[in-house]
This record gives sequence, structure tokens and C-alpha cells, in this order.
Amino acid sequence: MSGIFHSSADFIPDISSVGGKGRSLFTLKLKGFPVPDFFVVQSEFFKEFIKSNNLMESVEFELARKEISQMRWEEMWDASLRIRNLLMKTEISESMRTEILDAARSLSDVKSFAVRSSSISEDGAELSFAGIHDSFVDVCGDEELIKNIKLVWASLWSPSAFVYAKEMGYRIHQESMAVVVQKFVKGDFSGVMFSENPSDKTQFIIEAVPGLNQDFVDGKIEPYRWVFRKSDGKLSNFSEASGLGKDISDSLQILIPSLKENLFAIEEVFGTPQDVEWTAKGGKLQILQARPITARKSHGLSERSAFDIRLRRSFSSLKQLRKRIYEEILPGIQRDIDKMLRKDLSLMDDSELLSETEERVCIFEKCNRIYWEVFIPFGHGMRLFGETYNDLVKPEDPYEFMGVLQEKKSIASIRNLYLIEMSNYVLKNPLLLSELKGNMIVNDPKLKKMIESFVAKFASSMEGGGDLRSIIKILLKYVDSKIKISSVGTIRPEKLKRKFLKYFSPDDKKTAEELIELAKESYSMRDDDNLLLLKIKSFIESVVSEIRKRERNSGKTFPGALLEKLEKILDSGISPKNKEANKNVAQEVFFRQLRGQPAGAGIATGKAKIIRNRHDIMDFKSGSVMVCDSIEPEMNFLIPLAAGIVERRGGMLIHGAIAAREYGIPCVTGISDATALIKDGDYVTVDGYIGTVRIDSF
Amino acid sequence: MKYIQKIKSILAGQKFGVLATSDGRKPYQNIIAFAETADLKGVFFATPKQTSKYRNLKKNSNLSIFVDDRKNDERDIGNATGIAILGKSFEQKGIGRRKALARYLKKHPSLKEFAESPSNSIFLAKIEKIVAVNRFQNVVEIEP
Repeated sequence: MSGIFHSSADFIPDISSVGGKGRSLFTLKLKGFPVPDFFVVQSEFFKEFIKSNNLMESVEFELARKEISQMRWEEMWDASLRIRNLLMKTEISESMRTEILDAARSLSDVKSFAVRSSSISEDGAELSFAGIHDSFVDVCGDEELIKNIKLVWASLWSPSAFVYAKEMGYRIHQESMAVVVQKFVKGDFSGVMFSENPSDKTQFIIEAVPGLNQDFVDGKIEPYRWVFRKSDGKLSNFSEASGLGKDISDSLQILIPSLKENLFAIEEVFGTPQDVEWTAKGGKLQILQARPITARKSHGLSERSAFDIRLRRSFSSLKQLRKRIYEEILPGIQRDIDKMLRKDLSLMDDSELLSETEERVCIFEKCNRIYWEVFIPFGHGMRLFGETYNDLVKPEDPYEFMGVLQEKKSIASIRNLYLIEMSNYVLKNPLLLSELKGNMIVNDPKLKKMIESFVAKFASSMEGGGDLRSIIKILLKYVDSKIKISSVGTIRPEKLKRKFLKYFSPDDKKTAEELIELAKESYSMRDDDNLLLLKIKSFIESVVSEIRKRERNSGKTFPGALLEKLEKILDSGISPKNKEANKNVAQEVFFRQLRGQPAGAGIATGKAKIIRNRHDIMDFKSGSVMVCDSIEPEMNFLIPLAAGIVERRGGMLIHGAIAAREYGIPCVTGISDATALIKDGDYVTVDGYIGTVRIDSF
Repeated sequence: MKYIQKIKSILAGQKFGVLATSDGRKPYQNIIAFAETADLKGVFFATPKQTSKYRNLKKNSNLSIFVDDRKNDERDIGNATGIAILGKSFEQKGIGRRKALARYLKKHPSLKEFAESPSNSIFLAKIEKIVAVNRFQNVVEIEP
């Protein structure tokens, strides 16, 4: 079959073959606009690739795990990763490969390509496709070209595509994808222009940056921006670029007339306002793509989904974030912590206590903001590494990459190891054990020292804080479970790291190692950031307890609104967040088996213990199956004690799943309404291989 | 209600199901034309008396009927629902037979000659439990 259309064609191919982007490029080329030479890998090739390899059933298997309407961002990313891995592991046929590479060679004088998605539904009439599917620039060599074409195909099921399917009715099941392979032009300047300002129809806009658009897309720089009046073409507003270092607006000014001329000629061709991507080399303008402006809008997406979509960040943007975290943010938070530690609340008068309380609330709110704006986006580092690892290594297990990251232990992980170490010491001393069980006191000097050191390091990261009785109670649970240190952490990061690095040339190895380091930090930060917030929360807890003490002892009253705010901060966390969903659980049927995601291999049967509040944490018995909405940092220490884990929140990279794999505990995540459908005391079988939970009520 | 409605809709939409019987030793399966009651408490089906399934049912009234809505394409993996009906069979006689036939023929008018044949018998499968599986591995149970 012939699956290629060349840009030299003297007709405009159908959108069902070449997609929206492809079709508009053919139109522009035929009308004589300066478009770099290109060819389109028709959607028929994509369909053939999927059909001949029976991939659709596997894709549908992934899509069927959960209704998309109930998926969280993490679950969408997981489903997307699995599908991407499936496609990348599958080779394209020899004939297809030959046809694509022959077409690539037929483009004269081309050293590298831009490989762009061109979805067949990309007609621009209803939906935004900006950012849903992937495009790649500066792709060199046969293997890279084939790989990037497959990556574009896989991006039909990108995490963003899931978001759009969930909220905007994007037809994720029915899509097909053509790929535009274009001569890559390394322009001196690049930008986008809008023949109509999306927020003011009387204006049009031209944006430009030096070099490629990539830095602009990554948000590293802000472009120069000219806003013109449509009525007379006069300049209405101009914004300077930021993050460039030097002013080059004069060089760009020369291009403006030609840009304007092309912009309106393009709008005339298509008959609707256009969003045009361009580049210029040696003063010569090239049109890279054009699409209707309506297609750029992402109106209608919820604030949360828009936030989720922005989480996909480039390596360079993540590096900037890391620099900020380690050089600015963490030292700043540590200074706040040290300052709070130095203060003795009992010595303050009431007004000082009130002002200290307000300050602590401010610190908490600041940290909470940082959590959402910096730490969560930084968490994408491990995802970026995961995608890179899978694209190169093509492992059977799409989560193999996690093994590399586990070299760096999180605070929670170190804390749990410490608990295991203490419990092993107690196990070796039967007398000590009976003393602990009997009186809940510690006389043994070594254990006393171990506990003191534990309190100093980890008290704020556990339910019960630094309370000795709580720690002994937890320690006894660990003793009962008889966990051995040797049974923890069997993954060999070094081996996996070598496996990954061998795909890089000596020149690129340094960058690859940098990516690993960034991913490790991103991975450990994902857990540590929660503990940091918990630590800040413990300072709020101390002021609340001081206020309560004064109210009790002297009958004083403190402002109700403030106390309410403090309680709200302290209550955030454990309680099930899915209360509304729980209300809708059908009562007329008995849920025998629930399907979620296999997040930790193995099978375990045990009595279910639902964790709904702080008391449930301390009541948890070793060998039970933990059922919860989500594993919060203060309950993370229960994980090594659990026979199995069932979590409402889905995802392979969430805390519970990561820790379950670390300890080899069967775990299933993403069970909608888990805490409502499973009852305390139900016998449940957690099948962490296939991701099911069977319920047997007794 | 969504589960019950879904089950009702599948039973109403499908004309045929797979009947599993056993003579007490070995299982046996056939395709049957069935008609369900509106309250999900029973399913009617007709069978000639000179058949293995009739003999099995006379020996052992336990049965299972499987109905599903698969379309034999890739999306079945997520979209198809399988319904296993577990219950006991009761051969219908007299007024019970007339009522059962009326319901059965309402759904299968073309089978009038077959169903009313003197060599045929009509059974009511009283439903004890319905097990429905969707999304490949989600299992719910209903006792109507």
C-alpha cells in the first residue's frame, strides 16, 4: 500500500488521510506560501500498524480499566504510559519502514526533520488540539525518524488526550493519526501569530522569539508581542520579551510586514481566523503550520485539568525548577522551621501567641502554595525519565524505570527502615519485648537511644507525633509483623541504570545521567514534600495545643475564626476525600470483585481495615489489608505491616503504590469508592498481578 | 439502580442465551431462546422433551443461563457485560404453562409453532442470583 503523500502533490488530500494539520499544509503549499518541503504518513499507515499487530484490543484493555470520567490525572498518565510502551515495543513492518524512509530521502538537502501530529479529527470546528498530541523537532537519522513517528501515533492517547476525553468529549476511542514529516528549519527567529486576538476580535497578534519556538513553548522565555488594530493595521500594544538577555526587537521589526501580509493571506485562504506558526532564516520566512483559532482554545476545561495538562514539563524547565527548589525554596522553609523551633510558646503572652499563630498559618499557606505550584510540577521529572527510559529500553514492565529511582530513599522510607531495625532489635531480646508489652516503658539504654534518635528525626512525620506511647505502640506492631530488613528493597538500581545508559553516546551520557539525578530528586521529593507539609502542620498543632491549654487553665477565649482556620488546617489529610462519590454507591447490588490497577505484584488475603481517620491508623493490625482513600504521609508507616493495600486513588507512582512495591506488598489502586464498597472485617483478596480485589463478607 | 437497569436492558435486548445444565455428573450447554420477567425474578425458555437438557433438568433442576452483549470487536473488552443467571428450573403446566407461553411468545412470536408443540415443554428458571461482569473484571451480584 502507499501510505505517503508528498508536498509536491497537485491536489489537497482528504482530511481522513492526512489529518487537519496535513491538509492545511497541502493547501498552503498549493497556494504558493513558503512552506518547508514535507510528506505526510497517512492515517492508513497508523491503522495498518495497529491492525496488523492486534494492538487495538490491548489499547481497549487499558481504556477499560476505569471509566475515563472517574480517572485522575495520575491514572490517565499511567494508561497513557502503558499504551505508549505497547506501541514503542512494536516494530513497524519492513514495507512501511521502507516507504517512510524512501519518502524522507526524497526530500532534498534535509539533515533533520520536524515530526508533527496531524489527527484526523483536527478540523478545528469544536475542540482544541493544541498540546493534546505530540510533535518533535530536529529529528535526525532513520531510527529516530521511525521512533518519533511512533511517538506521534502513541500521543493519540497522551495524558492530555485523556483529559480532553474526560471533560470535552474528545473521542479517544475513535481517533486516527496522520504524521507530517517536514524539513526542519533551524530558524534565526520563530513565533506564532493570530489573525484575530482570541480575547479581542478587533486585534491581531504577532509573537516572536530568537531561535526556535521551543523555549517559548516550555515557558522559559516570554516572547516579543505586537498587538495590532485590525481596522487600520496600526500597533496598539507592544510587550518586550523576557528571559532573553539582549534586546533583538529591531531585527524582528524587519520581519513584521512580511508576517502581516502572510497572516492575512492565510486567513483569506481558509476563510476563518488563523493561528500560524512560523520561522525565519536569513530573513526568509517559512510557514510551519496553520490552524483555525477556535482550535487553540481550551475553554471549558476545569481549572484542575488545565493545571494537570501544564504538568508535562521539559527537561530544561524541570532543571530550572530543581535549582529553585534546592537553592531557594527548601533553604527558605528550613529557615522558617528553625525560627519556629527556637520559639518557646509557653513564654509568650496572649497577644504574642496570637501573632505567632498568624505567622505560622502564613508559613503553612505559603508552603501549601509551593506544594501545588512547585513540588507537584517537579514530580513530573520522574515521569519524563519514565517515558525516556521506556522509549529507549522498551521494557516488558512499563514501570521498570522506578527501580533506578529507588536508589534514593525518601524520608518515609528511611523512617520505616529505622522502625524495622528497632523492631528487629526488640525481637532479639524477649525480656525487652515483654517489658514493652507489659508497661509500655523503655529501660533498655540502647533501645532508649534508638527511640530518642527516631523521635528527633521523624516524630513530626508520624501519627501521634513524638508521643512515646504512640511510638512504642507502632514499634510493637512492627515487632508482631516480624519484618526483616533483608526482605526490603530487592531492586538493583545500578543494573537498570547501566541498561538505560548504554543507549547513549559518550557525548550524551552526561545529559542522561543528569536526567536520572533529576528524576531521583523528583521521585524522593514526591514523598518528602508531604512530610515537609506535615512538619509545618506540627507547628500549627503546637500553637493549637498551647491555646487550648490557656483556655482550659484560665478560661480565656481566643478568636473563634482563627481557631476554626487552625482546625481546618489540622484536619486536612486523612479523612476520605471522596465523600460525595461514596454517597452514590449502589446499594442494590453486592460488589464481589472490583477492578483497579495492579500497583504492587502478588496476591494477599486478609481482613480489611478501612482507614477513615486518625484512630483507624492506630487500630490497624499487622496482617490486615489496608483499604483507604489515599495513603497520607502520616499513615505511610503502616505499609510494611499490611498484607495488602487497596487504594481509591489510582496511579502507579502514588505513595502507596511506590511503597507497596518497595516492600513487596500486593497493591491495587484506583478502586472507585473502595472505602464504601469494602467493609471493615470483610475478607478480601488483593490480586496485585492483575489489579482486582475480591470481597468475601463473613 | 444503574446495574439493575443495565441487566434488564441486556436481557431485553438479547433473544438468546446459553443454558448450562448438569445431569449430576457432567455439565452441558445449549443456546436457548429466552424471555425474562419484568421483575428479574424469572426467565422462561422452551425445550423439546427428547433432548439432553430436558433430561438433565428433570434429574437436576439447578441451572445457569449466560447472556451477554458482546459485539465481537476490540471494544468488547471494556464495553461488554456478561450476565450469569443462577437458579432452579420448574416445568410449567396448566395455567402456569399458558402464562409462560404468552410471555415467551411475546418476545419470540416466530417460535409459536415450536413452543406450542405437544412435544415441547416450557420451563421457568427461578432466579436465585445474577452475577454480572463488566469492564473485564468488575463483578457484581444481585439476589432479586
